[in-house]
Amino acid sequence: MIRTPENQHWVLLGTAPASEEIWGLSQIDFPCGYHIPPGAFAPSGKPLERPKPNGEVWAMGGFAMELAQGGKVIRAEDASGHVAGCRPWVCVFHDALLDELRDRTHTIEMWDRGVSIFYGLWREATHRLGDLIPSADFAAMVDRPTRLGTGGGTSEGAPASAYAYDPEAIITFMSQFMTLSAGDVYIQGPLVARRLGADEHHVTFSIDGLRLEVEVD
Amino acid sequence: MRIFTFREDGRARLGLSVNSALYDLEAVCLSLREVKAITKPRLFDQSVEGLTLIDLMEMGDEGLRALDAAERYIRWIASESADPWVLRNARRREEDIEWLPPVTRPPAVYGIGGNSPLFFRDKNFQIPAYPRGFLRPTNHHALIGHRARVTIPAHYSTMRSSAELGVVIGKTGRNVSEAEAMDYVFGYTLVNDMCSDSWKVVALRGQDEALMHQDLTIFTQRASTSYYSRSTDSFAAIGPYLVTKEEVSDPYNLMVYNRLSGVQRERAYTQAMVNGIERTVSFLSRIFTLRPGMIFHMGTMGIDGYTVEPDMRFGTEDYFEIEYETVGVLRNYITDLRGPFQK
Repeated sequence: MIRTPENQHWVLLGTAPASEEIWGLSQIDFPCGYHIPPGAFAPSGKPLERPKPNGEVWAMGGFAMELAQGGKVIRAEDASGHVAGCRPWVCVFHDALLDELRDRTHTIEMWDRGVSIFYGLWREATHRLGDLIPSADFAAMVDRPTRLGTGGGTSEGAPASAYAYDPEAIITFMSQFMTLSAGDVYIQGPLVARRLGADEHHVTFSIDGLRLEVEVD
Repeated sequence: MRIFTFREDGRARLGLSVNSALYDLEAVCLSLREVKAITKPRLFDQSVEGLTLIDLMEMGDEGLRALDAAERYIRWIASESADPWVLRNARRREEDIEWLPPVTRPPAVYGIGGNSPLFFRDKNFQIPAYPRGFLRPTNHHALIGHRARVTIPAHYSTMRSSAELGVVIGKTGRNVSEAEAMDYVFGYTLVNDMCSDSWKVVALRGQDEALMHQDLTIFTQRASTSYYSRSTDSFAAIGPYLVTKEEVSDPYNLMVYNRLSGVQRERAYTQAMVNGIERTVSFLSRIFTLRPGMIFHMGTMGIDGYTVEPDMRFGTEDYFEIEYETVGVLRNYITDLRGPFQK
């Protein structure tokens, strides 16, 4: 699919199993998303950029749902027809704003903690999407555990079925207030995460023999 | 220079506003063929058909030179000493054209959530030393131009209209210092940043709103729904013009007005801006790459925009209108899908 400036990219927070471990977020009772800029995705063939300044960096893996067809006020029973499939997703994340505010002795409020999460997710070239897995093929994978490997080891994570909201629920919810377009991407959040050491430059997210490997510079 | 984008014959075109008159840039360039002069002005080296504002920005100084030449040409031809008839096919009327946002496909639209002392005093929040904001969708459903209709969905009981200064980025950059930030600004536009507190019901589920300052999960869900409300189709009006930065001698010395159907509802002053343009551009350039056409709207300069109360209903002739001195007046008619008010 050719991506255009019309395509929108969202990441859901508090609706994936590893959200608590990384951000301390409990499960949220609706598909809670934040818009992210297209520059947050590293160009194909380029490494992810390690967020700066140096601090605690998380590597995380999960899936992103992509739309095949747009629309407005899409009913739950029609939503599956709008899904193209899912792409494996890897992201490196750093709460850089909080580190900066601590250095500046700025009083840190809940606002700052919250903003630091989505500013961290906006950072340039910190996300990578893998090849699209068509919905029919993805259905066979949803109960399989996920794995995230770094130089420091491998962690097993939850399966895609552990997401609080499936693609149909996300589409139905989001299309109530905005028109969705083919090619829009909804990152469903981290199923598995590991801290990425300063000397670790390779991250692998895998499920059932399918692997997304990324370099981090 | 005051540049605008409009749709005619099914495609987007660029225009120039000169002495309050509107001109189609393509027709201006074509009109050169009729000019009887030994030395004709040199405008664009290439056809302007299909040219967008982002294309123009990416031309750098050459784009600005060509625009400046086009403006001087219009002033000359439109004057008594020349032949205004030559521009007969280039003139457009404000009421007749389909206005689009000046940048039709911005790479990002970022808005600051609160940026005046009045806002923070009213809400009893600490004033942050950095811009706190959000990104909104950039497709043509979300962004609308001057005179286009804002649709209030049936299930929104309230909404807010906020008069904000849009800063338009003109060139690519990363890790830009505050001292050089204005070099990356191409100009200014207006953004009517609209939202609805009806989303609080979804976000809070009966919980006390004050808990968002104590609980990160509640903050996250409240903030996301605030941005969802801003992502509602048609809730970001942008325009009418992109005014190049040279036209605005001091962006911190502008009066701001917010009107409903001609009645003034709010008046403010840009000197109140807490986080200025330089700091915002510099700060964001440390998060993502600045790209031509990005728009950063600088937050309300009053308390928190103008609130449409649940019992207010609008007819098809009603409109929101915001104004920043020197930058322009942005008007958007209202389509109100809410049914009759019920207590």
